[in-house]
Amino acid sequence: MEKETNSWSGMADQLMKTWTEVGTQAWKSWFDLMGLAARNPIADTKPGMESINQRFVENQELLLRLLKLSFNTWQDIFPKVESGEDWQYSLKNYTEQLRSQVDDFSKGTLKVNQNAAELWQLYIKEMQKFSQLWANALGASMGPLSQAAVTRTSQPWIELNNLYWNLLYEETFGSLMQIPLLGPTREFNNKLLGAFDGWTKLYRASIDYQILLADIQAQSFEELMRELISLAEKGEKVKDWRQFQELWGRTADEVFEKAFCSEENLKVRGRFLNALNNYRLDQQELVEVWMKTMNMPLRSEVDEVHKSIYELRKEVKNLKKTLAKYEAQAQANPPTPEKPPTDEQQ
Amino acid sequence: MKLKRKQTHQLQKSRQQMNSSNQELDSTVVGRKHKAMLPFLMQMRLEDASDEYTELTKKVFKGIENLSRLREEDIEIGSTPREVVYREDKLILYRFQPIVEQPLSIPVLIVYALVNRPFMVDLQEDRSLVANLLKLGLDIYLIDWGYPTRADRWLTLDDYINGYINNCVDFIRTKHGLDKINLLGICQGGTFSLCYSAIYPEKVKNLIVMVTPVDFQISDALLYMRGGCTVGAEALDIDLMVNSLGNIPGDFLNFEFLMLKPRQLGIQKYLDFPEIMHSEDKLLNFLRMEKWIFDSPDQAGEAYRQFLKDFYQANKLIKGEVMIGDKQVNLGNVCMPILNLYAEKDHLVPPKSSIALEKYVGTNDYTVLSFPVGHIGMYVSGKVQRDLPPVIANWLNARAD
Repeated sequence: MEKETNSWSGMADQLMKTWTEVGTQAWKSWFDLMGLAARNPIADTKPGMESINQRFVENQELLLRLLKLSFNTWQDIFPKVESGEDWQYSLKNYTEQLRSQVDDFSKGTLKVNQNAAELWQLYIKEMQKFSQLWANALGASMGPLSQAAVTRTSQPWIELNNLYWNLLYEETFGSLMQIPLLGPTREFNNKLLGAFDGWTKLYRASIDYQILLADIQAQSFEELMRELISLAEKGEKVKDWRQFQELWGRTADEVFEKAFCSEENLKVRGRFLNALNNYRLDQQELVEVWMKTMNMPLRSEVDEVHKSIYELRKEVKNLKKTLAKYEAQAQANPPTPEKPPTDEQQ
Repeated sequence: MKLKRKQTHQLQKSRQQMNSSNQELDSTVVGRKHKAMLPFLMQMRLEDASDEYTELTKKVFKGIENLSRLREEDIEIGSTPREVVYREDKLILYRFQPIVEQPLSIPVLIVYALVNRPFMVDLQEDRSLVANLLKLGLDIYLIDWGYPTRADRWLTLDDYINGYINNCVDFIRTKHGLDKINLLGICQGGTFSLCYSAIYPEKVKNLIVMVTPVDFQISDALLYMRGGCTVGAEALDIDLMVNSLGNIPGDFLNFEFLMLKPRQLGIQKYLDFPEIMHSEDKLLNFLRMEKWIFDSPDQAGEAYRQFLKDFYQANKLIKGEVMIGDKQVNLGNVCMPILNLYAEKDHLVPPKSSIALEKYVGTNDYTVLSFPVGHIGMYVSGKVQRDLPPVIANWLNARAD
């Protein structure tokens, strides 16, 4: 028994790692989306063969690992079914192991959350990546001009963040978090701290969402095992890998569907999406401060220009339509030409 | 020849490896006296398993050969000859080249959804709704919405319906000297066509809607749930999303659609890939579908905001409360003949959502018909490709006077 419990624990650990990876991929998709906004949307939404192959390879590898793990679990449980042992107890035990892994994951991340200093450090690291993304996009779009603007050094945002890292974190972090902000950089500091707050909320919400996804995975796995046992009890055989995969796909997606019809789960997902969007707004504000200092056009200014063009375009279209209407009317009812004045009238 | 020898060697090698790993597994399991009880793998003999893997390896080799020959242009979507007849901003109106001498005098304008490219109706030569309709004597126009950029984030449903669709309809009416034309709205494009027909009934002769959502609050529908209809902004804060992103990225919507059936849509189909990649035709079909699925335009922010809030979250279409610009949409005004086509296994637009239409429209000539496929199956299923075009053509011919 002890040996089997250890085995379950080991497998649960592996499964957790794989599921976390699934969560990370979901995350990556989101951050890629954020990045897309800064690049050419047309070019980026047209995947070629390369992206198709890449997607195929990634998913193939991930699923093969999950298949192997689930098959191992099945090997452990099935003999108990055959020999009339309490398989339900075994399955319950196994899924409890899975859930305890989820709990550990949750406790670990919450512990990080409680440590503000560590969180700030993480935030700055993320900011550096984010800044690099923006600087790259700017560099690509503005070419030599941007190089001049960034004084031909490495990404200016990294330096700026490092500066604030020193100023805000290493020297005065604690006090700056508490007191009203002062000085010429007051507005920037305010936005930076606001973004930190937004990032903290996003961090927490994303952990909640990942925990939720992992829990749904655990449920779907439990359901798969039940389905296999139920089939075996009826004497129905799963003939090959393909049938096994199909069964798993159907079972897992059914669990997923049910889970995301729950209001509580929808709220967890909603908090993640909302935190992500709020954080993006915070980021935009920060970027605008920097762009303003570099005398560059701001996103909000460009939006304003776009809006004006949109409204003007609409107005021109309406005027053209009205004009065409009057022209058609004029053609249908041409005005009677005025008779030249007669001699008498003259 | 060299390659062949190399492949044979590799096949033999993989077969040996497979035998050896099967023997290893066999000895482990037999040792645990589980052989008779273990499931599927043990129900296959080692020779069978080995043969299966050899066959699969052969297919993969052939598939790689096929893949290496293919180029992006080989998976171009939209093969039926067409010409650009009208442009406005990013919109392009196409007219497909009629292939019968005297096509039906009232042309059909196809209005597709904003969420994918419209060429699903013309996927490839042998799977093209458009080509089949042309063969049956119809004159087909199609709106291509293009790819909205950040400059289009302020476009509203008013611009799409009272603007673009109305201008296209007027263009076709003028070109053919007609008061009314036929509309074929697909998915979200069907919802747009319903709004349009309610506002401008004098310009629509016959209306066909296909896999079209009408009642958006179907309790067991996944998109309805995900739209945050039951929970509201806590599940999906549309205003925040549009304010933050401007346009809604097409990839985000794709991700959301995949998450409705994450394992089947995200993983399962790629596992089936090696089974089809040896066949060039099947491989091309697969790649064309992939290209279509992931070639998703962004959604103009303001239009997305109104569609999600008014249609999904508040279900205003069936309540007669939708405002498109300054015009109210009353489905009771839709008095022209309607053909409502839906897919019985549709997980994106549940049948109940489409069927509801009958209760709200003002027509006396209403036909509803279903096909035993899913949402995408309506365009690509061989059986539907065979049965659907005659249904549409016959229905329109019967109402051509």
